[in-house]
Amino acid sequence: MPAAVGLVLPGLVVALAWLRARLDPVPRARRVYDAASALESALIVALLLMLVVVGVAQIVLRNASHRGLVWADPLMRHAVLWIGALGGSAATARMRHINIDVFGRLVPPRLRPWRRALVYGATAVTAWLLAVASWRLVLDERAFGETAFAGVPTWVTQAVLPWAFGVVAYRSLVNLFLGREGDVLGAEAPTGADAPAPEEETP
Amino acid sequence: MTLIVALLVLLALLGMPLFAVLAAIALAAFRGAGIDISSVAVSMYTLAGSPLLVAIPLFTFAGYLFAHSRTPERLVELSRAFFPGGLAVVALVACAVFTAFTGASGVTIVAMGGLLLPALLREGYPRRFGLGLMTASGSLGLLFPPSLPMILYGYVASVSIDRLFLAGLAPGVLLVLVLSIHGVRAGRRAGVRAERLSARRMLAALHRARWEVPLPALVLGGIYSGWITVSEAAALTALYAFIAEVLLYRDIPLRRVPAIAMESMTLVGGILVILACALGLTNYLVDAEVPMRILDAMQQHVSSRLTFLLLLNVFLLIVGCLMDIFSALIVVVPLIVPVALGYGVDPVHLGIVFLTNLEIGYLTPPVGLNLFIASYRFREPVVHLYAASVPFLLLMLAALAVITYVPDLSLFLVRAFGG
Repeated sequence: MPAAVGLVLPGLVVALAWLRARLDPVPRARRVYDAASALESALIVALLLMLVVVGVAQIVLRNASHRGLVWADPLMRHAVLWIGALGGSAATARMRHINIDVFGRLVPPRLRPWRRALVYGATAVTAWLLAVASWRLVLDERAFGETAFAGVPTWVTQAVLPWAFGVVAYRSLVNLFLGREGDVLGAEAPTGADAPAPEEETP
Repeated sequence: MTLIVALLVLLALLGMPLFAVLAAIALAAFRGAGIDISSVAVSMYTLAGSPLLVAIPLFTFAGYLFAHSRTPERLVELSRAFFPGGLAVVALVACAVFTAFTGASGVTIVAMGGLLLPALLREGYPRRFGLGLMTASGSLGLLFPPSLPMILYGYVASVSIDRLFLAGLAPGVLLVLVLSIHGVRAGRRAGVRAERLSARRMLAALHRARWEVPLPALVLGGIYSGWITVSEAAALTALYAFIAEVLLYRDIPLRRVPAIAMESMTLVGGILVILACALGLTNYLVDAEVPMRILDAMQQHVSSRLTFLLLLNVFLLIVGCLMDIFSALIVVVPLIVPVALGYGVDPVHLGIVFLTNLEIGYLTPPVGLNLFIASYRFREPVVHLYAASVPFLLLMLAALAVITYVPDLSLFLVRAFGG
């Protein structure tokens, strides 16, 4: 990557994140990024749906005709890569990343902005480096020209990595500029499940 | 390098996402060794190399569907109809089944707790007992198939899943039994009337749960008989959960399904991203022969396998206290497995010891995660939960000792059926 791009692109991401945070209360701007994240969700749900359908089809076909689809297995494995990468970037938007956070809760309110700047900033830098690393992988792979499955080149399947980590970097910065804090339990996801219907809180 | 690692550990303790911590260490390590950082990305891509990982999004999605429907209610009613010995035993059995299918104990506490705790109190169990029971019971199902942490251990340690699934059965039953005895005694002391078995009640409960009852048999039968692979079983479970909860029971309206799917995939993304970043780091560590160095250093001080296992228990309890079970498995297993092999520990048995420890770590004060989830769910101060879960913690530690020092408890079924 030419040095200029290596500097301009991160600058652009920072500027974009800053703009996104500034425009957060504007309804029209909100509609734009809500639509963008809905598109991302739709892609993830579609991938999951495909896993279910192809997985069950494999069982049926294997038992009916004693041979499954040759491309089904690599397709499903690559769908997991995509779900992981896109789900990971969705987790950044929702502040749902798993963390250890022993001291985070103990930081006095006065120092919280500093904690956020440190933690989110370091996350953004790391994610950006991962995006760069996987971008290099994609370029190498493209030069190499291998096929992952059913005529799909390997580099295309890998392209989700630089994209997703770029988005993680951007979203970490948005969280930083918006001053968002994770909920009490940090990123421990299962607590998000709302409890099933009938409830008696008090005996 | 040491400075960078120290800084990152500090950031981790301040709440930096674990994936970023691991990735930053890996990037720094590769850079320091003069290797291009794209090697980290090469390791990440191996995520697309394992059919086993396909099971993770599918089982998680199915688990979230069950958690959002009335499955917990039907499961409790079913266990009540079939298990004498009081509601405490019922709660333990129902939670174990639920955790096995949903994968993480946090979900169990949230989904089952709201149902079981009020019921336990109504029957006359002391509040403290009920709280401790609910906090502990999330732990029980992890040793039963098709638990996700087990699948993840199998992947990270390269151990056959079928053998792990067999190995977990007896230790899992032991844990349920030990806590059940405690539950029955607590029920007697509190003067709880034992419920009578009634055929009519059994039939009614079976009828209500008619779409859910066949699932475990289908999945486990399919896997054990070799009819389907674990990832196919996961696809089948997801489809089954969708048909049962959305189309047959209609507990979940169709339009809610995408949101539930997204919620579950956010968790899956969180886990897989950690796994991806950890793969880069562990590849580096294994290349640098770090596990071998740990082994050499340990063998100078620790000569017997038993002492090693004891140290391992202490270490894993601390890890389980600090990390959630998925991250703990991903980060620690690749480093410990070679060391344990050096001490002649069977990797299948090691997996069971790992999972039991990490689950108990969830209950261990001051920072065990189940304690916080229960505190959040039941609106009780965490300190009350420390006190409430101590008896359960001690019993589980006793069971852990048996599981650790009697490898045959885990391995006899594997030898008998798994070859």
